[in-house]
Amino acid sequence: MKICIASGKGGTGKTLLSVNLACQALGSVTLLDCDVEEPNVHLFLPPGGAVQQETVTCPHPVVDVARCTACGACVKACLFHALARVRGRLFTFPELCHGCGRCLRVCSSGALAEAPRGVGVLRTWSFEQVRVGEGRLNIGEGMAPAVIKALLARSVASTPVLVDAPPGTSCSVVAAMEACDGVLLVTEPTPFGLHDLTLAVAVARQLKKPFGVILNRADGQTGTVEAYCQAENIALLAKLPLDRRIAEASSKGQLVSRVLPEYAPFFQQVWRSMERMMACTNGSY
Amino acid sequence: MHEWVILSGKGGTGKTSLAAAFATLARAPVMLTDCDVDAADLHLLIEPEWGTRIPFFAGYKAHVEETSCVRCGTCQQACRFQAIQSRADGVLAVNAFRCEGCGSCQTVCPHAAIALTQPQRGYWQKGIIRFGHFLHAQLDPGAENSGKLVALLRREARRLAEEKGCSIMITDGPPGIGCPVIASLADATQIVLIAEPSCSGYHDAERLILLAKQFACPVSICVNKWDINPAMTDALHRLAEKAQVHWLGCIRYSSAFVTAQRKHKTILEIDTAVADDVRQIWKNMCVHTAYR
Repeated sequence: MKICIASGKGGTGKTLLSVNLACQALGSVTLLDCDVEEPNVHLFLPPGGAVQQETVTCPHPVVDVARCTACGACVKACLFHALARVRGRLFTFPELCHGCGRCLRVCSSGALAEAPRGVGVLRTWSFEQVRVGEGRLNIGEGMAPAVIKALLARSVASTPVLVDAPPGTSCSVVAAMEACDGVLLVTEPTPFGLHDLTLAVAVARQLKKPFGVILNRADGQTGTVEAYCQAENIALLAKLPLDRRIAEASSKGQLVSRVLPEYAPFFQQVWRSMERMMACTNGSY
Repeated sequence: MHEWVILSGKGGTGKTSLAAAFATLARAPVMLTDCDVDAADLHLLIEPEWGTRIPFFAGYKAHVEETSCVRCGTCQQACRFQAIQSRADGVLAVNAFRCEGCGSCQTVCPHAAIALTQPQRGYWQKGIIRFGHFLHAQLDPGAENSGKLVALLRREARRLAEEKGCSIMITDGPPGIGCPVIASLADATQIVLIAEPSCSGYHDAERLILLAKQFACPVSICVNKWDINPAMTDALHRLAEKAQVHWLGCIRYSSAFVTAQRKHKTILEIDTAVADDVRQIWKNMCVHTAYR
């Protein structure tokens, strides 16, 4: 079982849910931090021992000037504008390159080769029974999906896997969600929360993933998120109440389910709801 | 022209609320742009009078012509994104979510059975707001090229601001530090970093400051919900001093932000104590950047 924890809006509690679910699991579990632009899981589940590290690379073209005839075939072929011909000389722009290799295929003089370029770092470690994997985009790099895909591809786990997704609804979120079997969408009872939830629902539906909603900071005002879920026939799996103590504990990097033990059953209940959601294959989600 | 981009690294720290408040405090007309194109919310606070929607096309998607395809699988081997999949009936089909739009499959196909199309990825539109002009975009859920859409919005904003004689451009930026954030930084004169006093907020602010340094863009910082964790607020203050980031001040934790959203109002119209915090930050920003 691989579950993606996503949200649309940022700051609704994806990481809060991910880390507390991971340490309230009944057995061993894997948690992958796919918010590679701003990974935060390590602040809550710090490495207890050794950390394994590897670099994520993207291939990019390098020009053998002696062989290049400056014919321009590669410039024309590259749809990302990562190559340009200026005054009879070929230039490459590695940060625009998607590593597709099309330029090499069209080059008739054998003047192009590929070299790897570091775009991010993967780190793995253990925290109690949790195996943590983290992707971290190098600062100044744009290509977050490459790091997300690398993290998801490296992790073969027999245990349940939780995937902490980045905010938003664009290609980074798709990269994280596509690799999962089901989705938890975390939202808050505000107009922003609801608006972005509807966008995240659209992504989950397009990817044909079963999904349910977790409402965070529920403040008792009977609201529009509940009405939306009901109208759209979406399962509202659980509600975490608005409690300043949760915000304070999280701000210190503490695990809410440990320092406020009255909330531990909440995360255990989310596990059961998730398992029910995944067992339910008749398309009602 | 003053071009302020409001960023945070971490999501949900109050970028949009601050952008709306700043726009009401600036000298009209203001050019206000929502660059969080895959989860745009600013329009919910300021309720613009909308212009027409303009479609946004970017990138490419491959498509296999079933009638010409002989199912040789050459394209499958060439695709580095595992986007070409065999359907149950043996026909090859492109998974649009995985397709990077590079065209390698088209290059290698011996039967010219692959076409590239430029799909619509979303739309953008202008709006009139009570304190000036507004630009907004919506990327289709799950679409790519958010950076290109942000770059388009920033370009259009600059053009519109000059045409309408705006005194300032205020941009509500996307979360993170990746491609759309980098696109939003083009020609920015100041980044307004709104941070949250939490270990996540600190970590993310630190990465954003490093990004800003790479692009040589000056940063000013304010802290939202400072009283949730005063020790972390102090740590952010020290970070600002160390990184030579201008300190703007703090906003207290308040339910007024949620109340304002629910009433489709800016924070200045709701709670006096919080409104005073925001006004002070605005004043400090004006003095710091010599904006009048």
